[in-house]
Order: sequence, then C-alpha cells, then structure tokens
Amino acid sequence: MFERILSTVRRPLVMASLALAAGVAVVAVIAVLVFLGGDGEGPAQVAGTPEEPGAKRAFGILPAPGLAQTGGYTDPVGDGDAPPLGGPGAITYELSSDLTLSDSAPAYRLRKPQVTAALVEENGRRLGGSTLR
Amino acid sequence: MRPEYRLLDPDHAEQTLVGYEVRDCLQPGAPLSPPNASQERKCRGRERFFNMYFDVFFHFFTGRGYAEEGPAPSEEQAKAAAREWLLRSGLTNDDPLTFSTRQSPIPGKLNVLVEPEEPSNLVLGPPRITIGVLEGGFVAEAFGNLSSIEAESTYDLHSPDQLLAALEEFRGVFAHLVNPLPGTNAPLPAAPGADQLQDASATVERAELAYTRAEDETGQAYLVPVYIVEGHMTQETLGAPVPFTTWVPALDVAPGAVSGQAPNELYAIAQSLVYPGSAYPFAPDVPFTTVSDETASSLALATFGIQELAAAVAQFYHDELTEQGWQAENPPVIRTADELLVGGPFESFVDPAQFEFESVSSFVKDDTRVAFLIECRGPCEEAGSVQLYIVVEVR
Repeated sequence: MFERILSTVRRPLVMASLALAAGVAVVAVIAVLVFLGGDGEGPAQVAGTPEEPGAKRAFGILPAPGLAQTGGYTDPVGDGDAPPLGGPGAITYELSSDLTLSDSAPAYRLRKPQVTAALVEENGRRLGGSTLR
Repeated sequence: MRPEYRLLDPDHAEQTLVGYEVRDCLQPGAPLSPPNASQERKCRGRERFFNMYFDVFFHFFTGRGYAEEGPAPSEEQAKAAAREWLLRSGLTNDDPLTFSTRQSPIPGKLNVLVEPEEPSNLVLGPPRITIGVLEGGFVAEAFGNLSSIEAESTYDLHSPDQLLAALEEFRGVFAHLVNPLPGTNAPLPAAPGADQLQDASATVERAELAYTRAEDETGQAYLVPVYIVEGHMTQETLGAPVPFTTWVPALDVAPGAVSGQAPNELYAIAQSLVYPGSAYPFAPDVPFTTVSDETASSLALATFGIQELAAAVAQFYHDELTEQGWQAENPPVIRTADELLVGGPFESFVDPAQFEFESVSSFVKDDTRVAFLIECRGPCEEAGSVQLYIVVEVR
C-alpha cells in the first residue's frame, strides 16, 4: 500500500522538490546578480562566433542538471519501466595520478521556446489533425 | 477519420500543456485536461494523440508500437521516415541534426534518435527527439524537444579537488551512482559486478567532457558541461576491481537541483539499522526490497514478504532502537508520511482511509527520526504477509 502511494505521489514530490530547488535557485541567482552588480548577463556570444576576452560566466551560475536522473535511458511508450533505485553502500573516491581535466569549456544558452496555441495548432494540423474548438 | 485536435482553454493553458488531440476513446464532454496514464492505456490502439508543452516538449503517438511483431524497418528506412515526419511536423528548424537508431524491445519497432550536431556528446536529458518507426516507415510515436543554441560562454571547469568533492557529495552511495550513457531498453549499470549493499573504494581514471540540459527557475534552458567519470572500484567481497561509470556537473552550479536526493548520512543510518531475522532489507533472500522514495531530507525503504509475525517485528524494533539510544515517540510522528498522506500538499492525491497499518512507530536521536510502518497483506498471524516500510528523515 505504502509503496503504491509513494509511487503515486512521486511526481508531486518531485514537483515539490523542484519548487524548493527553484526557491533556492532564486536566492542563488539573486546572490549572483548582487555580486555582478548588474543583470548577470555578461557579453554572451552567439554560437559559432569568436568569444571576446573577459566573457567567462556570461550566464551567471548555471542551473544544475537533475542530479537524480536515471541515466541516458529513454523510455518510448511501452518499452519498459523505470529502474529501481540502487543500494545504500557508501563509495569513497580517489583520482588516478594521470587523470587530466580541461580548464574551461563553453556552456550554451538555448533559445527560449515560444510555444503558442497557434503553433501547436499548426503542428497538429501538419500531423494530420483537424481542429475542434 | 481525421483525428480532431483541440486547444486547451486559457485556464488550463496557464499550466504547462498547450493543447492536445481529442480522442474518441474518452467520454464525450469529458473535462479538457491533460490525459493521465490510465486514459492513455484506455486509448491505446484507438486514436492518435499529440500535445505540446510550453517548454516545447511534445508527445505524439498513434496507439501502435506496443506489441508489433512484424519485421522492424531497416535503419535507413527508419531514418528516412523520421526525417520525413519531422519535416512534415514543423517541429524542428534548420539546425543540423544527427539521426541514429536504437533497438527497441518491441520486435517490430526501431527507435530513431534525433539530436543536434553540436555540441556532441549529449547525455542524460539532452535536446533530443525519439521517433518510433514500424515496418513500412510508419511513425508510431515521437516525443522530445529540440531547441537551438542562442549563445555560448566559456566557464572555468572544476579542478581535480573539486571533482573529487562533487563525487563524494553527489555520488557517495550506490543509489546515486547513475550511468549517464544510453542503454537500449534500460539504463546501463553504473558498476556491473559490484555489490550495492557494501561499501566500495573507487579510483577515477578518466573524466570525459559531455553536456546535458538544465533549466533555471524561469524556464531558461542551458547545455551544461558535465563529466562522464569512469574508473574501477574495489570491495572486500570482490576478487578483482570492477569498472564503474557515472557523471557529475563539471562546474559550479546552482545548488537547488540536489534536493531530489537524500543526503548520504540518511543512507548511512538506513544501512546501520538492524533487521529482524530474515528481514534484512537488502539481503538477496528477501523477495523484494527497494528504496521507495527519497527527497532532500528523507528516505523511504520497503521490504516485503518478511518471514516474521507483525507483532514480533514491531517489538523487535522497539527493543533494538531503544537499546541503541533512540527515543521512542508517543504518539509516533512521521513527517514524510504526514506529507504523503494527510494534511500535506499531497492529500488530494491519496485517500488516507486506505492506510491500515498494523503498527506505526517512530524513534528519534539527535536531529534524525526513524519510523517503521508495518502492513499485513494477508492475516497478520501468517509469516510472509508482513510488509515493512522504513522512513529515515531529518526531524
């Protein structure tokens, strides 16, 4: 019973966690803005163009990917269930002496989507649907 | 018959879903709201379905693709069908795309993964569209999202010490050790051959740069650098080191998204608990045990089919926990369960009257609480009917 309920509320729980995460992120972003003394938007570059000196961290602190993501698994309809979570064994780490890491790398800002009812309607029509209002 | 397509009214559209197709398997006049899983099951094989969310995630399916037994399309046929479908849908722009195929466990289906050419090495939740293609190039389903890159900026990446700290913090237990590389039908194991119940020492031998999608609180999405980390781990119970693969952010990120994971300390407490007789939660002879759920401050475990009587299990925990210095709470308190069941934000999702636990008890020590919920799936006097749920939470 409890398992079923836990399963039932997993999504709301995730949403609640995300809401909490968003709250924390807001605080973090505000802190960054204060630190930058501005709107946090430095000289970001259009993809593919050379970057000007001093353009590092133009997007401010980046959001964290969901750290609990379940791998590169994709779940097409009917192809299977999510995997069970793993065990409680603790892991301690050390780095190999010949490990090399990059000093820096680009991050990318994605174009913010403009999803409108008209767009969805157009997509639906293209895919063979008719529109019922 | 052409499927009819309806847009959500503005009240619903204020949420995340913009529109979806009306299906004749739903009752006429049914409330216009996002379909749930049971509705989707009911509609399988009946009609086409398409919806889109404000973050551009879309979902299209035809009701086919669940049990196709015919021959799967060839790779080239599937890719060609995917290209044609995308072109017709208008869902992508002119950005260069890559098309690759993945086997499906459904024999007659081949999945085509569509991703942007740059940056390469996208993992986890990348911009991606998955298109399921059947014999003859029929597109049975498609879902995902693709967004163009608007701008880029260089960031300093973690030093070795910071990488080590991130691994200890975010991947300090097996439950959080996730392999980010895509499997065919299930996640690839992060540490095949390792015993997830026992502690391990891991040596990181390679850290490859990759990218994944992350979204801030405004809905702005980024491709964030991460490290795919590989190496070997040793355990006392292993004769030889076994390989492992996992991932961590490659740079400082906003702390919020860690909240879905219970802290390592709660796992340590769960691991330290003693269990009655056959009920050790992670022992291989127990029929089924799982970490049922976790949040930033709680962890729920479940063990089924315990070969002890319910009363004996409850008494066992009372005796063991009090002997270890835990203080019993009377009446018992379970913050996590309260949130899950009654009075919390999820009350509308469950019926509290459904819960008929044989025993509920809780114990506190310092800032931690451990609670035990015992349910009988059959006569409580019968061994094997006892289900045990353990909640470890920050008070």
